[in-house]
Amino acid sequence: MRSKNRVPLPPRSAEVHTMSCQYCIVGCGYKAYVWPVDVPEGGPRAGENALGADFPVAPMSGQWVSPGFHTVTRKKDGRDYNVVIIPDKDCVVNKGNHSSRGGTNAQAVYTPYGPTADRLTRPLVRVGEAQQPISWDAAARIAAALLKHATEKWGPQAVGFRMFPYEFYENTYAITKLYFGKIGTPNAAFHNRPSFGGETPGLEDCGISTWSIGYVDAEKAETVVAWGTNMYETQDVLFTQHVMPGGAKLVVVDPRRTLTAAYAESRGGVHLRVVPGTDALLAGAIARYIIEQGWEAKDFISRMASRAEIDAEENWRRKKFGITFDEFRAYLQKPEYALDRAAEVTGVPAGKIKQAAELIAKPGAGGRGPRTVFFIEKGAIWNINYETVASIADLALLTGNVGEEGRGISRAGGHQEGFMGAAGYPIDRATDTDGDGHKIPNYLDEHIASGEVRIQHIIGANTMGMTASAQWAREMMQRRLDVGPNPESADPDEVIRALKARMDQGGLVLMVNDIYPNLTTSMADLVFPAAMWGEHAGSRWNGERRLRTVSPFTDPPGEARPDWWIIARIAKEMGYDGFDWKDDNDVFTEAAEASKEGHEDYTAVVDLAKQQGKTAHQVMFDLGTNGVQLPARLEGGKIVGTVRLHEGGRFDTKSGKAMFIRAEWATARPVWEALRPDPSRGEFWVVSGRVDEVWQTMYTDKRKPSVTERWPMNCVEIHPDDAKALGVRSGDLISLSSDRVFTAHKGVFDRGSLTAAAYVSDIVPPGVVFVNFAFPDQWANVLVPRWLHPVNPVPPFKLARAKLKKVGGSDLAASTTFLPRNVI
Amino acid sequence: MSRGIAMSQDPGPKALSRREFLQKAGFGLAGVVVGVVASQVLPTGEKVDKVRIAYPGHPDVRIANLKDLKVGEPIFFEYPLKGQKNLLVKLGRPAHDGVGPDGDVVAFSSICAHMGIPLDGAFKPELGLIGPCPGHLSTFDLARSGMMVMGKASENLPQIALAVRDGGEIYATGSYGLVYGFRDNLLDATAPKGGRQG
Repeated sequence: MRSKNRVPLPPRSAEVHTMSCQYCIVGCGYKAYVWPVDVPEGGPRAGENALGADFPVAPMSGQWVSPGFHTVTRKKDGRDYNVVIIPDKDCVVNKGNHSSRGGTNAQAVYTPYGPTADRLTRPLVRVGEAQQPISWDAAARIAAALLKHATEKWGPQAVGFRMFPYEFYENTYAITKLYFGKIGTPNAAFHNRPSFGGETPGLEDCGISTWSIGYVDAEKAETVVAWGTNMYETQDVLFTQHVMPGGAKLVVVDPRRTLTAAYAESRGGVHLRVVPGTDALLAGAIARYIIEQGWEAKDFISRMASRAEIDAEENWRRKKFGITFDEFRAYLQKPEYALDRAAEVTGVPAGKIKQAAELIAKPGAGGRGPRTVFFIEKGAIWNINYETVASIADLALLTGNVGEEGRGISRAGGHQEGFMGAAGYPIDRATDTDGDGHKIPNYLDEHIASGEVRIQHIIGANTMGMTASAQWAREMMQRRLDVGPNPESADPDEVIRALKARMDQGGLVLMVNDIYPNLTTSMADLVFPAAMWGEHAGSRWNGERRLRTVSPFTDPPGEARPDWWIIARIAKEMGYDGFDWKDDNDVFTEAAEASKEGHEDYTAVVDLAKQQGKTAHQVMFDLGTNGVQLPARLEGGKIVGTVRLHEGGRFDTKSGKAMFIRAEWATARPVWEALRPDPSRGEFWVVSGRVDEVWQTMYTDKRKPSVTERWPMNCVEIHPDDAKALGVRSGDLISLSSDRVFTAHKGVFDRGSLTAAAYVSDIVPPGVVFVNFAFPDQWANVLVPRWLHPVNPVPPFKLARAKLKKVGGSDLAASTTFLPRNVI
Repeated sequence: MSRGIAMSQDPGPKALSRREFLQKAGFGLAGVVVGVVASQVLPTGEKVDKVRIAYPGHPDVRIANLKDLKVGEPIFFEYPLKGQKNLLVKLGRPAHDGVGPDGDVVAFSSICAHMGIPLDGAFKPELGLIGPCPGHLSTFDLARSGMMVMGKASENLPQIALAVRDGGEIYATGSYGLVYGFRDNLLDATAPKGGRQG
């Protein structure tokens, strides 16, 4: 890719907008400068440009404007504007640092002049297998009529929806207000899992909030554990700006020898190269060794919940799985946790298990173990979820690493967090259970397969490629979409007639909100064009609960609208009250009430707004890229945040005390044995995950030449020994196929297959391959088991298996790079 | 320590030239004048009868001779302006836009395209890669147009257009990709003294 030789500098007259990045959890601060193209650009002297910088600027200045930061767009007023989106050197999160994703925020902005021109701009209805534009009035009328028909005829459970939790309080509040608050369906899911199960109940059941640290804690830690998180690639700036400079030694748990792992070992840390799925055993073995050395944090443990306090809990999982230290120690005596036995199963040598234990727990001169921060992410979460997450949480409790500077446990994170529930998930209406009589959130795809769900609304998720066992799911949903008549014209009455008849005949109706056409929108009966980041004010927080509001710097194209507006339009058409918001700020202001007294309390922002006679959003814009770490409070007329939670030993349980959670390998092992590949059949572990330069399903990245040049297609990382046996070199095409995709139905296996280009590398060990989890049209999730953990219903996305076969060559080796991605 | 992996070090099929790649990838060539002609007359009236790639405003500067180059040993020079340090290197493997009889002589900015940290000393001859940057560990493939192998930059490492003339004389004739720190590769600094700097 040949980028430009020059960029225009923003003139002093340019508008400035503050925001956090549109991409990952770290939420680096950015400033967008916007000025009309016919206004002269800024000059190179500090007094001549909006950055206040003398060009050329010095290394690490945070003031250079890369060509990736610049674009030209056309706004609703019909004028063309220069837009420069530059990492903010004054934001405490990143100080001008950025990843290649945020560094190309501007390349994702809508422009009629480039690859992002193909945004969805009109509501669409499917007529005769082609989607036609219609008006918002027609679209809302159709959607409302169909939702009403479904709920009146079959009850709320006939409505299914999938929503994003990442794209702003303003939207998620509206969505949950309709689908939980008014309709009350138990058939719900998130964008990345087919149920409303949480990602970390194993941590929360201990009494520890999922996001309890400040990034400053990573700087102050002596040891940082990266368990199932390839931090260099997936929380880039948290790693380069906070972990690396802090100098902590790293314990990296990952089947792959990533750059994160290589870095760890080059700086006095250790890489635990774990066999996929055996993490709960590894964590237990580390815990047992710590106890045998007498390194457990006895003071901290003495303040934890007693057996009586655990029994008094109301949460069924705490009652069932909560344990005392003595009970924890007791199950660790089982033979599988002995060092040599654990080493055999987990693949991690005993010496490295000991080294990890020392780094986490060996007391120093002061008598306490090292200040340790544990980060966990999808390698632990999309594993055998409940036991794996809980086993790592137990380690944090065992070593007293919660609620102090430099000591904590937190998710490292994927996307930023923008979920604000106007109403809770109606668990009383769920019909799935844990097998022991406890209700758990429904597995949405199975409730679609059974015919119970007749109309599905997908908001900001490419479900047809991304759900677990995606090939099965997509084919299943297409069969239900094909039942009954299709509309014969775009006349709303005809559409309503035909789609009601389809539902009456047992078919499914599909409605989708998105910003670009994709596989999922292509299958939909109704498509609603949504506004994206930068086009409306949206609020959400990063991995240290730092709430920012994006100050919009451009307009949604065509008739695209924020999702809250789309939901409100439909809800009002259905006759519901409470959806009369005029603007983004109205929703944000109302939603504050739902945050009250929780860890995300932002009512202080609304209170200050009233005091100052401003909108709540204006208060947020005043807080700029630094925002406020929630929960927020008012002190002396100023907004004050909270750096970390659980200080002073207060935990989120009935007793206020933390508890260990039973996370036995004995419980996880049968699942692991059912999921693992059978090498005698030629099966490999297929681990999927992110790659640094690519964001998720590539809805913006497909339209960035810098990304598509680097990744023209999905690649499968394969060890040189395995590559040789298959007769492949880097760039050759491989088919990954399975007729043994595990399901929860005894004796039933799904099929799934994708192709990918070989990336020969010893990042993976023999017997394990790695693919990008969300590469569009080469979907890794076709191999993911159709099985949800019975205690916490999420799938083991990381524990897939497939046979590999070479299916030919390609021209990729001549055009892109296949050099090692872990050069240290 | 960098890692050389046997399979991926194998250069495999002949590397596409940038022009071939751009044409295959369907990118237009507007704004890039690539001349592969026996002779042509430039707007200045100058007649040129060698293969020439022209970049508006860029000076032609003699950097080295092919004879000076040993495989894997970079020579540093500033071009087009002071503060724009580059490395010239014979990679020993075919490269996009590589010149010389083996198509493997390339030149790139030696300033990291992320936040401007110098990459001097980070060239890995066994891989044809530069990095990891001491700042944030970015690495760039010099046989693939400075494409980032892994890292944080939002563009490829800027590349210097080269021409080999009579007697193996290597000239820098242009640059593509914006050099870190600058708003324009040809503005806000002076030309370096002399033709070549270490």
